[in-house]
Amino acid sequence: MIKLPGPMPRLLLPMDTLCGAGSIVALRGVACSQALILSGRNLSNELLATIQNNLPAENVLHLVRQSGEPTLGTVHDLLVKLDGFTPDCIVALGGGSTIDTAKLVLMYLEVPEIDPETIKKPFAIPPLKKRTKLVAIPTNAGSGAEASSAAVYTDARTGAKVPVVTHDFISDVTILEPRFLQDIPKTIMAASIIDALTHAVEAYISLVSNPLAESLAEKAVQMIATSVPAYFKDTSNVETILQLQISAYFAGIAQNHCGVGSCHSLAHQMDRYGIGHGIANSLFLDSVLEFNQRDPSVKARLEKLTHAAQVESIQEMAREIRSLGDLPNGIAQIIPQTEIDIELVAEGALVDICTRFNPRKMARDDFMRLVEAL
Amino acid sequence: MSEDRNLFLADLFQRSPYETEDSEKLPLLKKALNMELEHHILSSDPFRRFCERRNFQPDPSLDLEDLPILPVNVFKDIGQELRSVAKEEVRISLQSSATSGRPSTVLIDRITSRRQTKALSLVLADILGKKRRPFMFLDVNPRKYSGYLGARAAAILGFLNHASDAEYFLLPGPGDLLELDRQAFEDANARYSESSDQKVSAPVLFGFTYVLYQHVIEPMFRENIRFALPAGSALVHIGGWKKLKDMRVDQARFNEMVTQVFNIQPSNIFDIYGFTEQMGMNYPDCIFGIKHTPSFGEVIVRDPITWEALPDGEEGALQFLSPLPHSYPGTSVLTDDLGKVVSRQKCQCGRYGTGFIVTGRLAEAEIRGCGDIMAETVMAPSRTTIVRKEPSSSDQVDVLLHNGCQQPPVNDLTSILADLRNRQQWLSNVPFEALIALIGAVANRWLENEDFIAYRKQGLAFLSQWCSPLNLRAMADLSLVGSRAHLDGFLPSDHSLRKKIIAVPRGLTVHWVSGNVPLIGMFALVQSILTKNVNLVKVPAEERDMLPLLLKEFQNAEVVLPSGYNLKGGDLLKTIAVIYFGKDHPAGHQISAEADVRVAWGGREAIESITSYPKKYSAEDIFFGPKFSFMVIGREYLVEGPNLTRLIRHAATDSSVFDQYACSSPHTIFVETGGAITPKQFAESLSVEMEKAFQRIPKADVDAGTALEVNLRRIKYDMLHDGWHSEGLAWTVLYDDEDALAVPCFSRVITVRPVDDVIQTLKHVTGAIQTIGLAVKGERRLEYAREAAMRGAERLPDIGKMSLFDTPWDGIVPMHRLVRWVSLGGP
Repeated sequence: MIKLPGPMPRLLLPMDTLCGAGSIVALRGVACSQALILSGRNLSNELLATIQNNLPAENVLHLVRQSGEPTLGTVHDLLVKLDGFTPDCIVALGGGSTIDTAKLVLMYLEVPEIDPETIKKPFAIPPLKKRTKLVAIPTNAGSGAEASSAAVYTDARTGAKVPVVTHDFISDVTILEPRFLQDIPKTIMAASIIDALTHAVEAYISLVSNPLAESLAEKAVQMIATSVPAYFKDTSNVETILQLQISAYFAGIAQNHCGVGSCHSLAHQMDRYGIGHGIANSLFLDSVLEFNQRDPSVKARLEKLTHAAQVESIQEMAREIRSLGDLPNGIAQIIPQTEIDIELVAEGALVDICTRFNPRKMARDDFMRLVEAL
Repeated sequence: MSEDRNLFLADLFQRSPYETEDSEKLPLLKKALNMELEHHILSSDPFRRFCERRNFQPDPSLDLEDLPILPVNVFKDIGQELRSVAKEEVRISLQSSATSGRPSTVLIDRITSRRQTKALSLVLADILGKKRRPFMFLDVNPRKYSGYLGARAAAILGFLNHASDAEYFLLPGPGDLLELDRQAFEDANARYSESSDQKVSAPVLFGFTYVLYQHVIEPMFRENIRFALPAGSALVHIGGWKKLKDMRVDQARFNEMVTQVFNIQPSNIFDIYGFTEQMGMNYPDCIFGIKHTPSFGEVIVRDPITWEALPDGEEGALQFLSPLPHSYPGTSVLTDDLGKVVSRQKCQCGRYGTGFIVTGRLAEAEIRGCGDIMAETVMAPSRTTIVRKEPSSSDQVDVLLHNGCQQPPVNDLTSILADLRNRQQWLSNVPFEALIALIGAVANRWLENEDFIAYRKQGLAFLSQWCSPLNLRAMADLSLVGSRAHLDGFLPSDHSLRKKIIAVPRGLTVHWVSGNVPLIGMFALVQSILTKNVNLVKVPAEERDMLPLLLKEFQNAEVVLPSGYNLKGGDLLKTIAVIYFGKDHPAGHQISAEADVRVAWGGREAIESITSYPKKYSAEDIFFGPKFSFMVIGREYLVEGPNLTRLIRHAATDSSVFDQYACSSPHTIFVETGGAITPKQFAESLSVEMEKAFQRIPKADVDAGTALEVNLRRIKYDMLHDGWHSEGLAWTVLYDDEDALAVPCFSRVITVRPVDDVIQTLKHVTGAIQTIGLAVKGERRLEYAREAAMRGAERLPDIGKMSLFDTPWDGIVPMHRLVRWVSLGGP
C-alpha cells in the first residue's frame, strides 16, 4: 500500500477474493500453522468441519464469539480463551459483527498494549498483519465488513458505537461461498440486502467523491435490483445468492472509500433497542433520502445512480425488499414508538462519524424530526 | 660573542640568572618578550594571522598573562611552517624525541642557537660552577651513532659546550638495549679519582632520566655494582619522569639509588626540566626540590581546560615565556606538563625567580570514539598512540546487576552463567509482544526519571524513542524475514504450504560495551532480549553504572496483556547480568568461551582483544567495530532559502549529537562548489547553526586533553586557514581545501572542505567508513550511494539523521544474527 501525499481517489481491496459455489476450498491455499476460526453461535458442525478440513494449519482452534456487537470486554474474553495460542491466521466466519470481532482480536494480538483512546483515533493504530492474516467468509449479503477498513465495537459503558479504523483491517482473503447462505432465513437475508443497498446509495451520494468506488456502487445497486425478485423466489439458488454476495461486496468497497451517511448514523442508534442493523437502515433509508433529495445536487446524483443501475427509484427497491423479505414497514411493528428516546437517538446520530459524510448538513432537530416520523 | 640585538634580553643575560628580583626583572622581561613578539608578528605570516584573530598587539604594559599562547603541540603539527626568519637563516630543524608520540619541530637560526647556548651556560654555571668540568655522558656517542640517538643528540651537543672533556659510556646492544661500558667507565673514574685537583676533575655525569635508569642505574643497583666517584661529582639528568612514574620510581628513590651506585650525594643530583619548544631554557631543581625561573624566563600555571591563569599553589598546565626563540614564534608556549607555583619569594637556596614544581603530565585526549583509532591507523600514522586507561585488574569481578540488584564481587562467573542459562527456557516462552510492551513501558520511565537527566546528553531520549513498540516491531519485522511472529512459532516460509520456519534464540549473548557511547550498548541488549536470549553485559569502566541503573527500572515494571498474560520486569531481569572486570582479567576468556553470541562495541584494540578470546565454533559474532563517518553536500542542495537553512541546521545536529563521539558522527563535510553559496559560506553558516545546536543539545564536560586538541586545531586554522568557534570549547568549524578526510578531533570540531564534484569524495570511502550523510539528488544520488556501498560504506542516511541508530547498522541486521533459523517440512 503506498503512502499518499494527500487525499485522492484510490481503491483498496482484499488481497485475494474468491467466489462461487465450492470456493471454500481456496482455504487450502492459505499457508498457516496455527489457525483460529471465529464464528457466531449458529455455526453448524458440518460447516465447521468443512472449514477445518480445508485449512492447511497443523493446529486449529475454534472459538465462538458472544452474540451482539463486540465490546472490548468480549474481545478480551476471546483473547483469554486463546490461552497462549498464537494464531498466524484468523478465519472469521459470520456477519459483520463476527468479522469486526476478528479484526479486533487480530489488533490485540499484534499490538496488545494499545490503549483504548488510541484505537478511537482513525488510522492511529500501528501497522498490523505482520503476525496474523485475516480470512473473511461472510455469511450474509450485506455488511461488507470483509472489505472494510473499520471494525465497530460498542462502548459497554455508554452504549456508543466506536469505529476502529485502519486499512490493515481489510481482509487478506475474502471467500464468497454462496452455499453457506442457502439456509439463512429470508428476513435476515432481506435485512442484509437493505444494508448493502444503503451502503451503495449513501456511498454514492457521500461528500467524499471517488469515481472508482462509485462505479462499484452503481453495479451493486443494479445487481441487487435484478437479483432480489429471483432470490425471494428461490432462496437456495446459489447463483442468485452469489449475485447478492457480490453486490454486497461491491457496496462494502464503495462505503469503505466514500463513507456512508445519516441513515447509518441513525441506524447505529437503534442497536440499544435491539433492532438489527439491516432493519434499522430499512426504517430510515426512505426518510433520509427524502431529506437529502431536497438538495438539487443530491437529487441529481441519485438520478444518475438510478439511471446507471437501470432502476426506477431506490425507495421503490427498498419497499420491494421489505415486502418480499417480510421486513417491518415501521417501528411500531418492532417496539412501541414511545420506548424510543428521540433526543438520545438524535444526539447520538448527530455525533456519529457517518453524519460527516452525509451530503446535506443535518442538525439535531433534523434528526429528531426523522425519528419522530418513524 | 656579539651583543644580542634584543637589548633587553642582552641586559638580562648580563646577570646571574637567579639574582634579579621580580620588580627589576619583569619590566625588562616584558620588553624583551614584546620585542620578540613584534618580530614574530612581522616575520611570520601564520603567527601574524593568529595574533590578528585574537586582536593582539604587542605592548610592554600588558601583563604576562595577556600574551598570546601557543600550545607545544602546534609545533608537532605545523612546526615546519612556523618560521620567523628567512629560510636561508635556518641552521637546523630541531625535532623533539617524540617519546610521547608526534615529534615537535622547531627551526633554529644562529641568533636562537646563540641565545640557547648562553642561557644554558648561565644556568649550568649556577649549579656546577663557572669552570668547565669533565662530562661523563651515560649515553652513546652522538657523533658515532647520530642516527641512533635522534633528538637526544642535540641535547648532548648543547651540554658539550660546557664540558672540559667528554666521554661516552653506553654502547648499543641488541634491539633497543644499551650497555654500560663498565671497563671504560671504571678507567675514567680511576683517572678522575687520582687527579690531584679534585675540584677541577670531579666529573659531571649526564644522562636522560629514563635511559639512565633503565640501562645503568637499575641494572647496576640490582647487580650490586658500585662506583666510588670522587667527592664533588655531580649527576645532571633531563627528560622527565613519566616512564619512571609508571614503574613507580619517584625522585627520592631514584636519588637514593644514584647515591648508592655512584656515591653522588642528592645535593649534587640535578634533575633538569626543559622541552624542545623552548630549547635552552633549563630548570634544575634547587636543593629544596624547587625549580626557579631565571631572569630571562617566567612560568604561568593555567587551567588545562579554560586556560585561565590559576592562583599560586593550584595545579595546572605550565606555560613558559622566554625571549630566546627568535627564528620561530615560541615566545609563549603552553606545555602538556602539569605543575604549580610554590613560591615567589627568594628561596632558602638563595635564588630569586618564581619557584615551581612539575607534578605530572596532562592526560591525552580521552579516546572515546572508535573513529579515533581508525583515524590513527588509517589517516594519520604519526598521531599519538593512546592507550585507554583502565583500572588495574583486580582478582574479582564486580557484579553490578544480577537477579535485579548489585551483588558482591565474585572470583568466578560459573554460577552466574548457570543462573542465566537456567532462565533461558522461561524467556523462550515469553510472548514477543509482551517483551515489546514491557520494554516500551520501561523506556518511558527512563525519560520520566529525573535521575537520568544526565544521560539525556548521551542519547537517552533517542534510545527511549527507539524502544517504542512501534519502532521495535518495525525493526523486528524487517530483521526476521518479514515477521516478528517467527519468534513465537513456525510460520509458512514465503507462503509455502510445505515449508515453515521459526526463529529460536541462540542462548547466551555476551556484550562488551565500549566507553565512547556507552548507551549504545542498550541497542544491542534490547534486540537480544527481544530475540529471547539471556544476556551477560560487560560494561566499561568509565560508565559502569549507567546500564545497571537503566535496567533496574525493569525491577518494578509490569505489563498485563489483554489476554491476561502478565510479564514482570523483575522476572526479565533474572535473564540479564551486568558485570565489570579489569583489563586482561581471565573472566574475559570465560564469558567468551561460554557465549553463543558475542556482541562487542568499540575501538580496534577492544575488538581485537575480544577476537583473540576463545569461542564456540558455533558462536555468532556481532562486532560494531571502529568506523568513522563524513558528510557530502551536493551543489543542488545549495540553493538559498529555507531548505538550505534546514539542511545546515541538520548538518549541525549531526555534528553535535553524542558530542561527535559516535562512529556515525561526521568529522568532515565535503561541500560541492558551484552552488548558490560557496563551501566557505556554508562553513560560516554552519558555525551559526552549531551555536544554536549547542543551545538545543547540551554538551558534556570536556577533558583537559580534548581541550588542548580543540585549541590546537583552532590555532592551527587561525594561522593557516579559516575557522569559527564558540567562546568556550562548545564547538569549532574549520575550513580548508585539503582533499582528504579530516583527522577526527571530536568534541564538536567539524571541518568543511570544498570539492568540485561530490563523486571525487568516493575515493575516501573504504571499509573503515560507516556513515555518509548524503545530500545529493537524482541520478548522482544513486550512483554515489551504489559506488560508496561497493567501496565499503554502510549507511547513507539523510543529513540530520546520521546518528539515529537504525537497522541495518554497520552492515548488520543484528536481530537476524541473534537467532537461529530452523525449518519444518519442505523444501
